[in-house]
Amino acid sequence: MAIDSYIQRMFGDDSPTFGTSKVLLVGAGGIGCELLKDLIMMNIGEIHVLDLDTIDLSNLNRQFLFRHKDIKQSKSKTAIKAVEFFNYKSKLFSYHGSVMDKIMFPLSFFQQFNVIYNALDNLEARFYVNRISLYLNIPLYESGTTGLKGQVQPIYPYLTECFNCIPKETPKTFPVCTIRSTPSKPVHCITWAKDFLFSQLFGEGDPNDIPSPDVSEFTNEEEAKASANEVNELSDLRKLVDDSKFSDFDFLIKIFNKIFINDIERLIKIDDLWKSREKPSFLPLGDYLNLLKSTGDSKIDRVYNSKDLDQSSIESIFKIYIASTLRLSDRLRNGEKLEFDKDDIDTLNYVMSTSNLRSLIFGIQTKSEFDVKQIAGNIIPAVATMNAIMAGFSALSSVNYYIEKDNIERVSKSKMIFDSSASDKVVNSSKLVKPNPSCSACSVVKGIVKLNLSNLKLSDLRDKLLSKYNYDDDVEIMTLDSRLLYDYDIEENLEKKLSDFLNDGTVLLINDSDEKLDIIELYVVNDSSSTEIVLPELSIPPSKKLRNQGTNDDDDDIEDGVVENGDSDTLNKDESSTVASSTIVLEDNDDDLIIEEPNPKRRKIN
Amino acid sequence: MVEKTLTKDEISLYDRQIRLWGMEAQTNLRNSNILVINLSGVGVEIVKNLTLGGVGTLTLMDSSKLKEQDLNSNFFVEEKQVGMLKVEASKTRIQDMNPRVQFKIDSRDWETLNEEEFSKFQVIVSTGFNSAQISKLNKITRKLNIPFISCCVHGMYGFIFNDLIKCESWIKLEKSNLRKVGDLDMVSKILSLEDITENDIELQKVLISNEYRNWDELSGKYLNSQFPTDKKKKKKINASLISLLALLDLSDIYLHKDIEDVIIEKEDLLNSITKVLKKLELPSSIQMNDDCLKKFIRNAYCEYQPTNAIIGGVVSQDIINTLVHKELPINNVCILDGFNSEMPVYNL
Repeated sequence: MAIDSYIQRMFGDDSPTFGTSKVLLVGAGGIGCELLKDLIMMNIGEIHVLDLDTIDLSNLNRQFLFRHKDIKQSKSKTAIKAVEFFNYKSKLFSYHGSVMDKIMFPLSFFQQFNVIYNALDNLEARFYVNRISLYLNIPLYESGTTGLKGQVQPIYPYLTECFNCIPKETPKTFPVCTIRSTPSKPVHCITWAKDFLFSQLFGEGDPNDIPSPDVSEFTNEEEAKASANEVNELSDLRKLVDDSKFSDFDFLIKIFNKIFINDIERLIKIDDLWKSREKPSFLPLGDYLNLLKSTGDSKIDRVYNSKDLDQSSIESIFKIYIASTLRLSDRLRNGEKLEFDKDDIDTLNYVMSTSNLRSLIFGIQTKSEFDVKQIAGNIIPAVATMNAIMAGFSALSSVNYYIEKDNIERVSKSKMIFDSSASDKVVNSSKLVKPNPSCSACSVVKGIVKLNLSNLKLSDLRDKLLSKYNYDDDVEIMTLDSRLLYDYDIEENLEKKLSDFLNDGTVLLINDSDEKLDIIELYVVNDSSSTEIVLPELSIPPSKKLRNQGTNDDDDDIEDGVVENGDSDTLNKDESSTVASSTIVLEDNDDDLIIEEPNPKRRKIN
Repeated sequence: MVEKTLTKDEISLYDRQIRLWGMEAQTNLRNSNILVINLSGVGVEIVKNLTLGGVGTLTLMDSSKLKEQDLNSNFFVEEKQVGMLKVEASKTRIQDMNPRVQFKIDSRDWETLNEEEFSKFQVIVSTGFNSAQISKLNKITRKLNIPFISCCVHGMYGFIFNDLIKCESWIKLEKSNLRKVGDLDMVSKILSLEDITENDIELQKVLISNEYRNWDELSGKYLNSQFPTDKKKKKKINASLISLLALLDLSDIYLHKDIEDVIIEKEDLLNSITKVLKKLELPSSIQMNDDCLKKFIRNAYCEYQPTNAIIGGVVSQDIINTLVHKELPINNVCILDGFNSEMPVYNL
């Protein structure tokens, strides 16, 4: 008997590579803690854990490697220490930093890994790691949960869909006029209080920098004018705050009158707005001037009474409004830079009380601290069980990586996992699908180029590109974040040094001016020792536009559950492949109907 | 000892899950009393999840001693504790995860307990049991009217059996005019419907009642009516279900043995498979092929961490669902086929 007796028995005959593999785990939070434990007990050779975050009280209901005493400590470092006693075979490394920090984690850092596991909580970092996995051709196990929902996606670059292949749902936004003039729900008032009022009155930056909303976004011109006025007047109010003193109270009443009386009166006058809506009214505010009175004791005025936090009476809303405004003004006067943070009690209470005041005026239900915190702080529910399940599936699906010999086998055995609320299965699993041919990340030919940025000029790079890849005429050089560095119209940059525009890790997009060759992506690695430009060997296909003018008849119409309609029109082609990629044959479906795999966040329940 | 409301500290600690199931559910959880029998790898996962979630009292019962082979599936112990009672070796680290949970250990063999000693629990969970043991404990839980869950892990395979007797749960579904009070299928029915609107989406709050069978009542009658043709059965019924049931039916007790001493003869398993198919009145085509069966035998009675995590997570969530009457617990057998990443649920 040995520590790894079970694993020996299960996989001994397959000569698995668990012990000789090096993996990167991005994130040591809900899924990350679970996955770290699973990977250690799979006896993976080397596990590198990376996280930028520190531990918070609300993590402790699921991130089982952390204790109360660890609050405010680095997640990755604490996690590595916490697993030491049950780690027998793995070498562990931890990093406290952002995976997107190119100085801490240049491309060469990622190159050492056989597999990357994502256990992230945001889309930006997910897209970033996805691109890294594409550049280096490293399999990526992507996972995520929201409450009792979750999914796992194994990504084998260029063989299966990448994280970017299917468009992701972006956070819900509201029309400007709903927020500024015609709120009808608590969330509208909270958005107004947080993103408009708070940021203008206490937040960073010059109010004049905030562009006035586009007139076209409003239903009528009067409304747009009223709204623009509000912005100008707010910057005057900000001055009032800046110039106030600790013992002052008047500025608070002036601000109230402007925001909750004058601005509303101005809105009420715009008849068009209220044809099909209830007009706002001051009635629910009661005797607001009386409620706004100072106690005469500037210390008492600044105290939050816990009973007022439920916001159940007008009086409690006013009290929190007064205390939070005074406290935020104090902090501003002390030179602090303020931004909204759900765990910063003053900013939360200010947003809560002002949104509730606005709700009263517009006849909307007021919200408690617990609810406002969730909406304003965009809190996503999370439980230990779902994190354990999805981390388990991420680890379990990756077993294929270690026991199969090549990526083709691995792909054919791997599945994508979704939670299911159907009563006949716990999860939906579907075979991996081929990449979306118009994916902006994985359909583009990629290469890595080492450049001595401080020695070379942009013209050197352009000339080399032209000769190496046989462009007929000229190229456009852009960065991935859409800065245009060069095209035939912009010659002035040519004599500038590359270091003027580029850093280590900048991604360049090279476009054929003739649109004959497809766009390519070059990842720039700064190498001060290199003397000449060595561009990677790439076979650049004809541009998508040209390809789509040809026939699509030789493409298989149905492949691995992907249905393409073979339309030759570019626009339709794009759409069809987007739809196709999210269309999956659920193998256990009764009649082999091809049904659309619904988005995990808003899936239908039987 | 039963507190009506949550303290401010509890609300902060459990914030992210209260936002999922609400204060009342969290309070129910805090006042619950649960028994977990056997600290196998999946038992470890269940104990972790329930302790983090904030159950009231958790009793852990296991009379076995820690072996070296357990070290790859128990993250509450370390190498130098080998030879100690498992529950003794694990207790400090379990309690350390959440001091609010009343954590008790019991190193007696569960088979030696009087029936009444089980009566104080609201849910009883066993791990690693074979068929005879499940049947024996299930008789007691039925008699005492206590929901019972039994689960086990066999390498890349997992198995869950629920006998929640009768369970009512509220679930929120997208609104449908087709939904009516009455039978949903042979084991569940809708008791009531209520239209609600949440974030502009029209939903229905549906109260569903599920009826369960005890272990000795399991049969193929629901499967046969759900999937009338052999073709359909073959397609819908994962052969791992049959192999797992057959494995549990083997008369030897393999749990707590050194894995090197666990020898499962292919012929014995095949005989058992034939019996299971006969009992469930299923066609013999629902069987693993030779290669698959060999692999299955290699996996039998192995602990494997990713499988433990999945089965442990699903069982823990089902315990919570049972206690707070939200979401639908499994009715009544669920298997994990880890080689195919599938997790179907069958009405047996």
